Amino acid sequence: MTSFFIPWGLIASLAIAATGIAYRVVIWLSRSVDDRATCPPASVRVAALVTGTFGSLFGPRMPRMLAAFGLDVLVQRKLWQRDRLRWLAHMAIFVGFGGLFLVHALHGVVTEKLWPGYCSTVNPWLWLRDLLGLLAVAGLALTEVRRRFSRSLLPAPKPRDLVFVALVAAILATGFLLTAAKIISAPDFERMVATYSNLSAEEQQPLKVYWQTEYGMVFPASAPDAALLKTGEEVHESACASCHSRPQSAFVSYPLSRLLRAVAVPLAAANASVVLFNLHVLLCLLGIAYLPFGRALHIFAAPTSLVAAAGAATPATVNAVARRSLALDACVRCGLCDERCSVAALWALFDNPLVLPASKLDGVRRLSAEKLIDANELATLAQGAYACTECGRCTRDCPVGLDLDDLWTALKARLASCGQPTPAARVKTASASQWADRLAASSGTNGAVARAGRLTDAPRIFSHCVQCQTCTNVCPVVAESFGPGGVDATPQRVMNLLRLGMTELALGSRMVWNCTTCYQCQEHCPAGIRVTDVLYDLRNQAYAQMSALAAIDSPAKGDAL
Amino acid sequence: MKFALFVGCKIPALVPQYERAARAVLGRLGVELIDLNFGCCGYPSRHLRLDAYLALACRNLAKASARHLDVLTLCQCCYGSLRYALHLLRHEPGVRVAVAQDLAKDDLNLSETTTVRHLLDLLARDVGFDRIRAKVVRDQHRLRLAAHYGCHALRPSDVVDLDNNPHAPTVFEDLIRATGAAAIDWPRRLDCCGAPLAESNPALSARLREVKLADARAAGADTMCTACPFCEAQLSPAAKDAGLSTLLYPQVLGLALGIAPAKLGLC
Amino acid sequence: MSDAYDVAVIGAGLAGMAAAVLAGNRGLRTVQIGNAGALLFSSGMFDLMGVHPVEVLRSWSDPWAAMAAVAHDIPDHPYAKLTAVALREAFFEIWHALDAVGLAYNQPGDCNIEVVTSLGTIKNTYCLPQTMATGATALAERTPTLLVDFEGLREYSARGIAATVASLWPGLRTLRLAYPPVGVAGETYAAHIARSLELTENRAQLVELIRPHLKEARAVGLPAVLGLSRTAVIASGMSRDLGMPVFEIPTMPTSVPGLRLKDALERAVAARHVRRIVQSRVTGVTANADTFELCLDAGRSTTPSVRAKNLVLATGRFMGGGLVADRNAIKEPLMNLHVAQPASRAAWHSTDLLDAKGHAVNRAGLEVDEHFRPRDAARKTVHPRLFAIGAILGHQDWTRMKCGAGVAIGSAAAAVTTLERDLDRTRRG
Repeated sequence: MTSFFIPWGLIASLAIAATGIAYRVVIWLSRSVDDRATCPPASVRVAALVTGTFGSLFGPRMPRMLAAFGLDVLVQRKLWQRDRLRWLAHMAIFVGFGGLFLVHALHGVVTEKLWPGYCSTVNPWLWLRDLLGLLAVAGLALTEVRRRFSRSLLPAPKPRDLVFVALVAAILATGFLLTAAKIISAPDFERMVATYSNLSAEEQQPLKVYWQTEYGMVFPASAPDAALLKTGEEVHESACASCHSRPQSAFVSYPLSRLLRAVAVPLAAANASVVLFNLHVLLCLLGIAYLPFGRALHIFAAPTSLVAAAGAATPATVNAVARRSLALDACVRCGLCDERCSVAALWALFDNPLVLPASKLDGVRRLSAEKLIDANELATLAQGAYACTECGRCTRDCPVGLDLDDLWTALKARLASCGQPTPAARVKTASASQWADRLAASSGTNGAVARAGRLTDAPRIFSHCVQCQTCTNVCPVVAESFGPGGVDATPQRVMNLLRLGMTELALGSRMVWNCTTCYQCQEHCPAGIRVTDVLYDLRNQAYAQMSALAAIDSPAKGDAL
Repeated sequence: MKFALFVGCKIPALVPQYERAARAVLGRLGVELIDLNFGCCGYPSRHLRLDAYLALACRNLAKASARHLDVLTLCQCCYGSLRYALHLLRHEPGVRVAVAQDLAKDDLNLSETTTVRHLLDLLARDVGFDRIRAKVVRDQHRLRLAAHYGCHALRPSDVVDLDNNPHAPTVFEDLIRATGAAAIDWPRRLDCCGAPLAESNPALSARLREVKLADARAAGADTMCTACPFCEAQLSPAAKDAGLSTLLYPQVLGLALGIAPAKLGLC
Repeated sequence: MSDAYDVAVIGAGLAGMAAAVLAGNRGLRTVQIGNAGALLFSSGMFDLMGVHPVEVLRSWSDPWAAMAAVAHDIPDHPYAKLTAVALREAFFEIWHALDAVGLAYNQPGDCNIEVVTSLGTIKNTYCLPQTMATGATALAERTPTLLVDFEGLREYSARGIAATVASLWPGLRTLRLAYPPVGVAGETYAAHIARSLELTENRAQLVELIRPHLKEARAVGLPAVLGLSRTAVIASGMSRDLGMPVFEIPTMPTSVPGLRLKDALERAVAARHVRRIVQSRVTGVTANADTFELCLDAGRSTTPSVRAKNLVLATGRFMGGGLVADRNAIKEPLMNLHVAQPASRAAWHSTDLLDAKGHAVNRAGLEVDEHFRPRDAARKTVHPRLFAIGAILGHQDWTRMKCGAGVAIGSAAAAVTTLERDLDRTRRG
C-alpha cells in the first residue's frame, strides 16, 4: 500500500527538516550568548568547527565520543543516575518510538535488509509493533502522570511543546487505529486476496469464513457457515499463513478492532484504512518536518550536544562558543536543574523565575537571539544570574550533559557588557561621592526599592564609636591596599560617615565592597560595635538602590571620596 | 552521635575530597551522618539581600529540626552563615516572625533547639582528644602543619563557637597534635585567606593569599592545614609556588587513623 | 559548664588579664569575661610609680621609694595596701608570662627608665618592651641617632621629636621614607607597616632604604612598627644588618605595642586554660550562698551565664563602663557598690582644665579593704569573696601619677593571693 504523500510529501518534509536543521546549525555558529566584543566572527567559528570536528572524529577523543554516544545517548546513563522515574518514562518513549521508527518506518532499509523474510503482518513484527507502540504510549502517560503529581512548588518551565506531544501521540494513535481498522477491513481483504492469491470465488468463501471466525475480519454478509471452517483453514494455511500471523498478537490493535467492529461496515465504506494510512503517513511526515522545531529539536540537538561535549578539546577552543548555542537548543526543559538548584527558594522571594536554571536558560536564549530588548527584562535576568552561587548542581544533574556552569559564566560576562555587571563591579564604575549624588537623586523616584537597612538606621549600633582606629589597624584589606587605586575609606571612616549622617557616601565606597567579611574589626572593637555587620548592611542597601538605577553609562574611574 | 551532614555547595563543586575524607574519618570515629536534601546555606546571598540569605539558611535549619537533628558542617562559611541565621532568629523577634511566615509557605517550621556544629569543634568537644589519640595508628610526625583557621568559624565570637578564645584559639593546633604532626605557630594564622574577594577583587585576594603563604613558609611549615573548602580552594593553587602543599584536616587525621589515602581523596 | 569556676574575672584590661594569668598560674579554674579593648589603648609601657605629688610634678627615678611616699601621703591609695615585695613578685610573674609567649619586655628592676615619646616628651616608666628599652639606653647615653619616620604615617614626626628633645638630646638627625605600603588616600598605618615587616623581604627593603643615610649615627629610632609579632627577631635582624641598635619609640594610642600586648595576654591566658568570653558584657550578678551567678548579654554571647565561687571586678572606669556617671552621681553599675566620690557634682572638676592637682572625679572609685574587697559607705567589706582591682579603685589618679600598671598588677596579685588562700582553707576544712 503506498501513500498519496509518498514520494513528494517525503521529499518536501525531508527538505524542510534539512533546511531547518541547517538553519539551526547556522544559528549555533553565528549567534551566541557571549559578549559581542569578544566573540569571534562567524568565519572563524565555522573554520574552528570543521577542524574541531575532524580533530575529534579522527583523534584521541574518538573513543570518548563513542562512549558518550553509547552510554549517554542510547542508554541515557545520566538520566538513570539523576532520576529513575524520568529515565523509565523517557526510555519507554525512546525505545518504543525509536524502535518503531527503525523497525517499522524504515522497514525497507533496515528490517528487510537484516531479515529478508520480513513481512509486516507476521510475528514477531506484528506484536513487536504493538509492543513498541504501547511502550511509547506508556512512556508518554508516565510523563504526564509524573508531572501532574509532582509536588514541586517551582514554576513550570515554559509551556510544554504541545505540538510535539500531540504529534507523537497522534502518530501512535493512528498507528494503532490503522492496524485495528485493517483487521476488520473487508475491502483490504478483497484487495489482498486479489493481489496475492489466485483463489477462485469458491475457494475464497471458506477463507472468508476462517478469517471471520479466527482473524476478526468483518464482512457485510451475515454469520459465517461453520462447516466451511476446516476448508478455510486449509486454504489459509496454503495461501495466507506464511504472511499473516494471528491478529490477536497485536495485543493493542486487536482489542481496539473489537471496539470498532460495530462500525466496521461504515468504516469500510468510507475507506477508513486508506484514510487512516494516509493520515498516519502524513503525521509522520509532519513529524519529520517538525524536527527542527520546538521540543522535537532535542532529538537531534541533545545527542549532538552530548557527543560534542565528550569530544571537546581542552583547553576550550572557539568551538566552545558554538557549544553554548547548541546547549540552548539541546535543553529539553525537563526541569531537573530547577529541582536541584540550591537557591531555588529565592524565586518566590524575588518573584523572579529567572533565578531558576531552566527559565534562566530560556532568558539566555532570548538574549542571544537579541530578543531581550527591555531594560527591565535585562535587569530581571541579571538578578537571576547573580543570585546563582555557581554551586554546579544544575550542571552535575543535567541529564543532557549541558555545561550550564559555562553558560552562566558567559551570561555574566555578557551582562557586564550590557550595563548589568556584578554589584561589586558596578560600584567601581563611579566614585563614592558620585554614587552618593546619584543615589540621593534617585531615592525619591523609586519607591519600590526595599530598604534593607536594619543596622545603619539605629544610632545605638554605631554611636559608641570613638574613632580609635582599631578596626582599621586590624583590617587586612586596608593593610594590603596600596597606592591611589586602593581603598577609599577605612572601616573607621565608614563608621564616622554613619555618625555624621552621611550614609549615602558610604554606600559607594570601595571599603564596603572590598571587605572580605573576616570579622577582625568586629572582634577587636573595644566599643563592641558590629563593624562587619554594618558593612554587610551597607552592601545590602547599596545593592538595592543601585539595582534600581538604570544601566550605568561609560565608567568614570574614581577613588577618592 | 548523629548529625545531619551539611556538605554545602563548594565541596562537591571544587573540593570533593573534603567530603570523602570527612565521611571516612567520622565513620571510623563512630559519628553517624544523615543526608538531608539541603540547599544553599545562604552565605553568598548575604551580600545581596538579608532576606534572601535568611530564606535559604532557615530552610536548611527547618529541615534538620524536623528530623530532630543538629547540623554538622564541613565548610566554615556554611557554619558561620547558618549560625548567624540562628543568632538572628534567637535575638531579633522581627526576624523570627518574618522567617516563620516565609517557611510556612513551604510547610516548614523551625524549632530553635537545632544547633550547628563544625567538624573541628565536633572532633575536639564531642569525640575528644583522648579518643582520637587512642585510635591513631600512624603517627604523622613528618608533617609540619600551619593550621589555617579561616575566619567564619572563629568570628564573630558571639555567634560562632569554634574555640574558647577567637584571639588566641588552640583547637586546631590541638587537633593537629593529636595526630602526631607538628603544629607551627605563625603570626598570620588567624588572618583571612582572601577567598571572599576572589571574584570581585582578584588582585587583592591574591595578595592576601600571598602574604599568608609566605608567612607560613617563613615560620617553618611545609603544609597548610585547612578546614574549609573556600580556604582550600583559595590557597592550594598558589601553595606550590610558595613551597608548600595543602591538606585538609580530615585527610591528616585519616592518615593518622590508618585509612587508605585513596579513601581520603589523596592520590 | 555546670560546675562553678573558682574565680570569675570581669574585665580584660591589664588588671583583669593579670588576675587571670596569676589565677591560672596557681591552678585555679578561671573564667574571664570582657573585651580586651582597654589594652589597645596601652602604650605598651608599664608604669609602677612615676609622679608624686602630682601638684608639683615631681618625677621619681626610684619607684619603690615613690611607692612608699605615696602610701604614706595618701593612706587610701591602693599602694598603702600593698608591699613592695609582693608587687615586685607580681611584676615578675607577669613579665615571665609575657616572655613565654614571645613578647620581650626588659627585666623589671630597681629604677624607673626615661624614654622619648612620639611627642618628643620624656616619659618615666618602669617596665617596657625591649625594643623601647634600647631607645632608653640611647637617650641615657646621648647616642647620635637617626630618627626615621614614614610618609603618610600620621601623628608621628621624626623632625618634631628631634626638635622638641633637641636641648636634652643633641645629635639627632631625621629621615622621612616613602616606604610602601602607602595606602588609603595617601595614609599609612603603623599596624600595617608592622605586619609587612614580618616578612623578610620587606625588612631587607627597609634596611636598604635607611642604610645610605646612616652617616655618623650609631643608633636608629623608628616608630613602634617592628612587627605585630616576632618583634625581637625583627629588631635584632635589622640591628645586625645596619650594624647598630634599632629601637622603637612609643606612638600615640591606638598603637602597635597595645595590639601586641593584647595579643600576648590573650595567648598567655589561653595557655593557662582560662575560659574566655570575649565580646560580651555581664548584665547582672547574683550572689548566692556559695557562688556568684553572672548573667551575660544574651544578644552577644553563646553562653547565657556562668557561676563562680569568687568574683573579681576589673571593670575599669568610665570608658569601659566599670563606673557610670549621670548628672548627679557616679555609680558602679553591676552590683551598685559604694563609690567614693566628691561630695557634690560641682566638685568633680577643677575649673582649670590643666590644673596641676588634677580633677577629683579621676580619683573617684571603689574603696577596698586590705585584701582588695569592696567596702560599703560604712567601711564594711561587702562580700568575703568579691574583689575589686585596677583602675576602678578610688583614691588614685593613675594617668597623672603614672602608677597604672602597678595598681593593676599589684591589686590583682593581692586579690588572687587572698582568694587562693581562702579556697585552700575551704578545701582543707
